[in-house]
Amino acid sequence: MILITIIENKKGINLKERFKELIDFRELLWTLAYRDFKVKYSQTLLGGLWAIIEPLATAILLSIVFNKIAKANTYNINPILFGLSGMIVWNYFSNVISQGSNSLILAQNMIKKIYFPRILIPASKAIAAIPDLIIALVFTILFYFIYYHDYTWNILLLPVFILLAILSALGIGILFSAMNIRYRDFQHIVPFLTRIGLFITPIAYSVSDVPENYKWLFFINPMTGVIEGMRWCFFNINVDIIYFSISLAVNLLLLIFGFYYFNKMEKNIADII
Amino acid sequence: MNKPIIEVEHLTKKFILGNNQSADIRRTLMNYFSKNTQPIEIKALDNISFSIEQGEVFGIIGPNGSGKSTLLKILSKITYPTSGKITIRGRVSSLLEVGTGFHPELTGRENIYLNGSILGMKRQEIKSKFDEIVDFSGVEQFIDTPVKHYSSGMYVRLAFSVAAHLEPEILLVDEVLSVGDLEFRQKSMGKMNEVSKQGRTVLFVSHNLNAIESLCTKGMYLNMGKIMGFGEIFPILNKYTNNSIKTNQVSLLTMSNKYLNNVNLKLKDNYSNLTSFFFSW
Repeated sequence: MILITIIENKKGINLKERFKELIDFRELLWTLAYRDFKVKYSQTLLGGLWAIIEPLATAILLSIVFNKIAKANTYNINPILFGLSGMIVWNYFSNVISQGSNSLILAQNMIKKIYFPRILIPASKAIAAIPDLIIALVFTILFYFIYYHDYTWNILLLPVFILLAILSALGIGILFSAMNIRYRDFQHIVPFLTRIGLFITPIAYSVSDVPENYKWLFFINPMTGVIEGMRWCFFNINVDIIYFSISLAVNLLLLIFGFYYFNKMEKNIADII
Repeated sequence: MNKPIIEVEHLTKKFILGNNQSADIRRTLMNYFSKNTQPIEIKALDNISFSIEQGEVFGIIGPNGSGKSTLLKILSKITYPTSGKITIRGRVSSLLEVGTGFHPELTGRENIYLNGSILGMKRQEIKSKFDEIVDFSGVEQFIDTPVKHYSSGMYVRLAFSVAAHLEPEILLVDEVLSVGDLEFRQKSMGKMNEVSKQGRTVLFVSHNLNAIESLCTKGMYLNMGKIMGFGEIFPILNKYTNNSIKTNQVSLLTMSNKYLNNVNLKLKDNYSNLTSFFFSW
């Protein structure tokens, strides 16, 4: 059968064609993700251990600031374990969006010389960081069984929230990478966002300590819902379903908008990068 | 009868000068408020139409900036046309550069898989051709060494070998045969010859007119985004070389009064025979 390709300047996006193409190129997605993962730890001494050292050190630091100095409530749970349960997903999220937002610019040589669905570049960043997330998660579960004794069956639902974290990082990474093509301002905005995000995301404290008037503001943050969900899995801390739905909706909207905006920009990426 | 494998109808590509498409938010706002600034447009390709039949080895020649590379980029979907329509009947692989996506930290083996899948090969396909690729490149010994330790010659040889083992119906090639040493260059020319004899359609952009002449049967001469000549390769090459010589003559003559006293002019004809003139003003 002869493959017929028609190239013309058409308005609008043919969704069916786009998805078919993504399926055709799925191997490239894994290959790109494998490259990033491999390169990240080549010539390092500790290798994959960095995946836990980084979030653990940050969680300890945050627990000193928030729990020892500011006396935030951690429900009598070991504050480092409490912080770590949020920190591992936040760490994944901030890594993916900061690498994702620069990914197209760093791959511009490739983009100008060969065709493939451009979305694979930021998307591969979300996949390349998954092994790190899993390593960190395994260590956290280990700490959990050592330092926490009221185990709950909720923990079986952890994969749901991990998946939510991945989708959330994927959507925002894709969106920022496309915006960065036209507005290089995002190179300055993203590091700023991840830095303040560390404090305005309930990592070392619980959102239930936030005054009722401001709570919705916290749940606009796409990571709040995920982290509160993680806490529910580990420690059976209740999450207000309405606030959780806000967070879920924000994530879904960002994912859809990210795909839409990327597809709209994709044709012109090689010309304006 | 068979339809042409590539059909290009009224293809135009405009570029906007002044980089006012990317830039930052500030510039976007400024452009928004000052509507009187007219962007300067240039036409890299100006309403061109042509078609290429199955199995042709087709050369595209022309001076720098004539639109050759833009045409290949549009055919390979890297950039989109401003207007016009292209119909391609077959699987396309484009080779605008060797070693696209190569990563210095990865080994030769890993880079073969990486580069192969970027070029559109399936993992299984690469696996089955792996030995052949390594053999062609001549770097067997170093295949599990990170390519950052390769010499630049080894690097391009490995990169070219991956590309040389693509098996598309249509191959787009942009000036990539000039890599490696003399022996490897002959090897790559041989490979190109082999590819063209297998009935594939090849579009070949080059400034190396000898290579064009020996590989291509038909061709096209582009200048300033317009087709100046199309058809059998010899008349096209003649037209191009004649035009280039004319242009150079003019500039030499205008220069001569002021700057040139003695000139030793060396010219190559289509068959690389060197002729030398010496004259003085």
